[in-house]
Amino acid sequence: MREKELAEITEADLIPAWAMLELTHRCNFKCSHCYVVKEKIKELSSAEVKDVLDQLAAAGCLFLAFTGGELFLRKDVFELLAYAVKKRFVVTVLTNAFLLDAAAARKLKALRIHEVSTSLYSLKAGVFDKVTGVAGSFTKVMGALRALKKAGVRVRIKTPLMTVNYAEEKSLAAFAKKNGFSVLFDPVLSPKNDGSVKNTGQKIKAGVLEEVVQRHCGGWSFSDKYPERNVLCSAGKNFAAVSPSGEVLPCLQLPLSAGTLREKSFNEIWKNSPVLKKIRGLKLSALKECAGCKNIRYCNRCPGLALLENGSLYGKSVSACEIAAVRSGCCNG
Amino acid sequence: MVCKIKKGVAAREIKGRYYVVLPKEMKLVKLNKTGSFIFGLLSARVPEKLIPQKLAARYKVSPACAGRDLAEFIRELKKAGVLS
Ligand code: SF4
Repeated sequence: MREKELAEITEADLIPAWAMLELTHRCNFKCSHCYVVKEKIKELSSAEVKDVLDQLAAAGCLFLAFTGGELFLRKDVFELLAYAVKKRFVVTVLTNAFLLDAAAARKLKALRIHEVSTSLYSLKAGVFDKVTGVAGSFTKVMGALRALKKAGVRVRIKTPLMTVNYAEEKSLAAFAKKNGFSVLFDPVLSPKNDGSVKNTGQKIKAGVLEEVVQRHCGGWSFSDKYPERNVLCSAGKNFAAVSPSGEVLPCLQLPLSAGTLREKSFNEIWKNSPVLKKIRGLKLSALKECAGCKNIRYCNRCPGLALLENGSLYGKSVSACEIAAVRSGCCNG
Repeated sequence: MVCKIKKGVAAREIKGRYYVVLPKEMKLVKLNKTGSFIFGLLSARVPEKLIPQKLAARYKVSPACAGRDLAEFIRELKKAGVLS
């Protein structure tokens, strides 16, 4: 499996083979669980984004995901996607799909976009529109999914499981299978990027979480040999993120600016940033709560979530703890 | 014959080796050293007819042998949908 080998080589050599590029924080949805903090920022221009793409390619980035906000609100989005394909990235597009019609779907196919990833919260219009805060959004997104399928674009559905939709997991999975889409469910709701939890009101509660996590019992792969891999991650090692205004971040989930591309080159930031050096230097022994934790082999701690939930890169992540406890119970009878 | 890397083929040189996504199978492959050298030349749009000479110089083989290796490599990548 070459991707695993590539991940190991690039993590050891600090090559950002994977990256995410946020094109905008603007959005036409008002999702109740959204983690983006909307601030007035000056988005990178088309020329600046292309320069970032040149720099990422030169740094060794192969897998690139474009995201937002809603990136199709940018008028230059197809121009930027075409440029990225020309630079030979594996391009994934993360979109709410509201603005994708048949012509846009055909354009994405013609551009040879690797995959379009979109959130499908429910198969019930009322539930979906309630989550997005936009009347009619369900109809538009279902239309977009049909158009993408017809155009032959690979589609991945991502569904955060919340109190309003966890019961639909089976029907959403069946819908994805019937249409040839891949699907990913996640019971974790990230706090907002400023640490506020006002967007997590739909988080599924303890008893229900057990039911949801147990559905996937046995489907996890954790490292007993390298437990630190369960609680640390590749952010800032072989994974980079860039914000709409050109801040380099270790990950979109880890909103610590390592430097801005309007002032320094990607290479300079990636090599010298004290923020990245600190993240790369994190060791299991420094994570006091996790190092001695009996559930570490069932854990998927995200350092970014730990920071947002508890204010510390070194602390536990409450949501990871909850899930690890259920998995442990599930695997140990 | 002009041989080009097809539009939309994703590839990156990482630590001296090219990682290429085969478009038909959507599979990531790592080219060997010689393949990476040739792929680098094709990426830089070096005409195919000049490649055997460069290969021969780099790997100290005869131009005829380099030509055969190149033809085999190109045949494989065409079959995989990487080259036109
Ligand atoms: S379950 Fe909690 S304390 Fe244990 S390793 Fe995971 S995040 Fe750390």
